[in-house]
Amino acid sequence: MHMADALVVPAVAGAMYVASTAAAGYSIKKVRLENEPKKIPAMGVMGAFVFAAQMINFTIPGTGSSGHICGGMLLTAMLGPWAGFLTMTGILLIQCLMFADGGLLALGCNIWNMAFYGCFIGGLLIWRPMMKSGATKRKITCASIAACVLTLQMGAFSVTLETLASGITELPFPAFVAVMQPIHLAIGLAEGAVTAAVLCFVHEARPEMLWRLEAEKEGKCSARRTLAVLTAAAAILAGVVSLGASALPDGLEWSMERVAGTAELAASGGAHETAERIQSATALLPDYAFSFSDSALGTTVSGLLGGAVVILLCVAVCWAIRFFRGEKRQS
Amino acid sequence: MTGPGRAIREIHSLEDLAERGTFLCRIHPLAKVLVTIWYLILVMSFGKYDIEGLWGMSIYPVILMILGDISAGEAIRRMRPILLMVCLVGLANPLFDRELLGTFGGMKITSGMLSMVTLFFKTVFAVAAAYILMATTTMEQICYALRKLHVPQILVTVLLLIYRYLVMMLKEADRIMQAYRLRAPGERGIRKDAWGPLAGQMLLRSMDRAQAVYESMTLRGFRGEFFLRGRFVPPRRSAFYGIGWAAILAVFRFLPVFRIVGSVFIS
Amino acid sequence: MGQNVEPVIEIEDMRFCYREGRYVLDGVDLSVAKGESVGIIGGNGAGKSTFLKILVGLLPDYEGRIRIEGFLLEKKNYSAIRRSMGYVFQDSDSQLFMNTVEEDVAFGPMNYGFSEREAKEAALRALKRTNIADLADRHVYRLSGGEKKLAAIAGILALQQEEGIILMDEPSASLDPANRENLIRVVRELKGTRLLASHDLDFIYDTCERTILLSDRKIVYDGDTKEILRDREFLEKNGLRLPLSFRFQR
Repeated sequence: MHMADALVVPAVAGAMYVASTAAAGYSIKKVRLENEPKKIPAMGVMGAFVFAAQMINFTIPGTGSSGHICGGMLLTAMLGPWAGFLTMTGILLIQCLMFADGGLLALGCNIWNMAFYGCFIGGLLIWRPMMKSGATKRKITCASIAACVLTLQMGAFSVTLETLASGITELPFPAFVAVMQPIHLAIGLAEGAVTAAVLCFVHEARPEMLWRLEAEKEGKCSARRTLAVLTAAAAILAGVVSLGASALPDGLEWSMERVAGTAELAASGGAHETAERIQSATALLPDYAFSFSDSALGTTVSGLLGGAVVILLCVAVCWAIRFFRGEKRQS
Repeated sequence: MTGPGRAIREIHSLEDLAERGTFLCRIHPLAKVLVTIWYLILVMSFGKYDIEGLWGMSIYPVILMILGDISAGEAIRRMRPILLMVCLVGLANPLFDRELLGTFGGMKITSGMLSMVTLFFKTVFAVAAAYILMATTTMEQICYALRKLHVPQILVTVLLLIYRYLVMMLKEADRIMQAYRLRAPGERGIRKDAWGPLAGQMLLRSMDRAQAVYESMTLRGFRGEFFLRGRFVPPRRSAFYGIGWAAILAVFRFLPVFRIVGSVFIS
Repeated sequence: MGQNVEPVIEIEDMRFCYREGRYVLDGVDLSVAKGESVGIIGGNGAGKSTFLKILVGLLPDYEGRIRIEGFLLEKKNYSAIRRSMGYVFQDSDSQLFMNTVEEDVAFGPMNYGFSEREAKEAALRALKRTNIADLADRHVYRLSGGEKKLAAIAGILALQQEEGIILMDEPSASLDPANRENLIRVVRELKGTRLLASHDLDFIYDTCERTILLSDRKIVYDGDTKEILRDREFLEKNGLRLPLSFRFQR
C-alpha cells in the first residue's frame, strides 16, 4: 500500500503531511504524558522487529499465497497507539529512504494511510474497547482481524482518494475502488489472522507485555475525545480531497471535457470560473507547456531536441570535471 | 522488498556508498535533504501531460550521478517494485483517456499514453533523487538534518534506534526462516500452527532486548532525554550547493529552457 | 584480601528474591578493596548475574546493606554511584545502542553534562584504553563480537575516572581465542576495581587474583584464585568443571 511520489501532486502531499504531522504531534504529547522512559528503547527495538518480521512469509492455508504481520496493529497492542504510531512513522521513513518503498513526498500520505488508521482506529476504536473487560484468546483474535480488515479498507480507500484527488489516473472512481477494496479485504484478513496468532502467543506467554489496558483509566471522556479526534481527522481528510480536487492540474478539467464533449464549456458558468480562480491560486505552478494543439507539435519537438542538447552538454561537462579532478588527485 | 538477506545487502551497499567521502558526501545533510524535497515538489508539480517540461528535470539526477559516481543501473534496479505498482495505476490512462494528439511514425499518440509516460518518468526521477540522497548521506546524517528541521527529538531517537537494531533483527528473521526451511523442505512460508510461536518468540526476545537496552541506558545516565551530537559545521560550500540547485531547478521548472535551446537549432 | 586498603564495595547480609520467599541470594557478605580484581564463579543459575545487577542498582528491592564508595546503594545515590561504577552486559548488542562506536561511547558523558567536545575527548580516551581507537567511526552492527565487547567496555570507561569500578557479566562468552586473549590483556591493564562473573575458569585465572564461588544462594568460597582451581572435587561439587589445561598441568 506504499504510495509512490508520482501518484500525488504537491498540494495533496502537503495536506497529508499536515494531517500526519498533527497526528504525530498529538502522539508525542501523549507519549510524553505517559512519562515512561522505558518506552523509547522499546519503540526502537520493536520498530526494528516489525520491520524484519514483516519480511517473514506466513502461508495462508488453502490459498497457496502468503501473508505478513500487520505492523500497526502489532505495535499498538504492544506499545499503545501513540508510541505505536510514532514507531510506524519511523519504519515508514526508513522504508522510503533505504528501500524506495513509498516516496519521500508521499510519506505524509503513507503515514496517514497505514500508521494513523492502523494505530489510532485499530487501537483506540477496536482494540481498546474490546479488551476493556480483560483479554481472552478469542477476543484478541476477533479484535486483531477486525482491526486489520477495517484499517486496511480505510487505508486502501484513502490511497484511492489521494490518487484521484491528484488527478494522476484516468481510472474512474468506481473501478479504482472496485480494484483496491477487495484486494485489501483479502490482505486484511490474512494479516489479521497472522497478527492474531502472534498476539495470542504473547498473551499466553507474557500477558503483562500487551498494552496495559487497565492502566488506561481515562473514563468516559476517552470515547468522546476519540470521536473528536476522528471528526477532526475526517474534516482534514475532506479538506485534503477538496483542496486536491481543486488544485489538481487538469484531471477534472479533462473529465469534464469528455463529459461535455467540448472544451468551451469552461468559459461559461460562474461556478467553473470560481473553480478556475481557485485552481490558478492553489495550483503550485501554472502550466506553460500544455499546448498540444496542432501548431504546438513543432515547439514540442524543438523542446525535446533542446533537452537532448542540454543534457548531453551536462553529461559532457560533468565527465570533464570528473576527468580533471581525477588527474589532479593523481598528480 | 523481498527477503531479509536482500534488505541487509541493500543497507550495506547504501552505507558503503555514503561513507566514501566524496565531495557530495561532505555537503551538509540539511542542504541535501532540502534540495531533494525541493526537487521532488518541482517534479510532481508538472501537469500530467507535460512530458516536455518534466524532461528538464532529468538534469539533476544526470549531473549528480556522474559527479557523485553513483551507478544509474543500481538506482534503476531499486525502482523495479515501485515502477510495477505505478505502471499498474498508469496503465489505466491509455485505456480511459483516448484523445488523439497526433501520430508519430505511424503510431497514434493519445493523451492517455502521454500521461502514462509522464507518470513513469516522475517515478523514475523521484526514486533516483531519493537514491542520490541516500548514496551520499548516512542515516545518522539524515537524523541530524531532521533535528535541524525541528523534527521532535523522540521521533529522531526512535528512528536512530530502529536503524541500529534493523540489521540485527533482519539477520535474526533470516536465520529463523532458514532454520524453518531446513526442517520443512518444500514449504514456501511458515505453516499456520507455527505462526504464533515463531514470530512470537522473536517478539518476546525483542522485548527482552528492549529491556536490556533500557537498563544499559539508565546505567549510563539516561533520564528520558537523548543527546544527539552534531558533527557538521555548515561550510559555505553547502550553502552554495543548496541555493545553487534550488535556483537551477527553479529555472528549469519555470522557463522552457529546453525549448529555447531547441529553437536555436530548428529555426 | 587487601584489607589494609579502604574497601570500595561493602556488602552485609544481602538477600534477594525475584518472587516472594524464593531467595536467589541469601546472606551474602563481601568486601572488595580498591583496585582489586575479583572473579565470581558458579554454575548456571547460581546468581552471578543477579549479584552484579543488584550492585549497579538494576534490581533495587534487595534486603541488607550495600555501600559503594561510601554511598549507600539506594535510589537517590544511583547517579553518583553509576558515575564511578559501570556494568558490561553479557550481550554487547544490548549495550551498544547508538549507531557508531564513538557516539555510543560518548553517550554516557553526554548524559552527565559533558560538552560535545569533552564527550568526544572522553570517548577517544576510552577507545584508546581498549585499543580500538581506529574503530571510532565504524557502525556498531558491523563490528565483530570481540570488537563489540571492547566497545562496550570503552562505553563504561568513558564515564569513569582511571580507578572506577567495572562489573562484567560473562565477558569472554562467545569470543574466539584471539579476541579472548586481547580482552584478557585489556582487563589486566585496567587500574580500577574489577568484578568479573564467569564460568570460564581459564579466563578468571588469567585476570583475577581473588575469586568467590557462588553456590546454593551463598558465597561458599572466597579466596585465592589459584587455590580454588586446585580443588577439583570442590568445584565439581558446585557445578563447575576444571578446564582441560588445569587437569593436565597440575
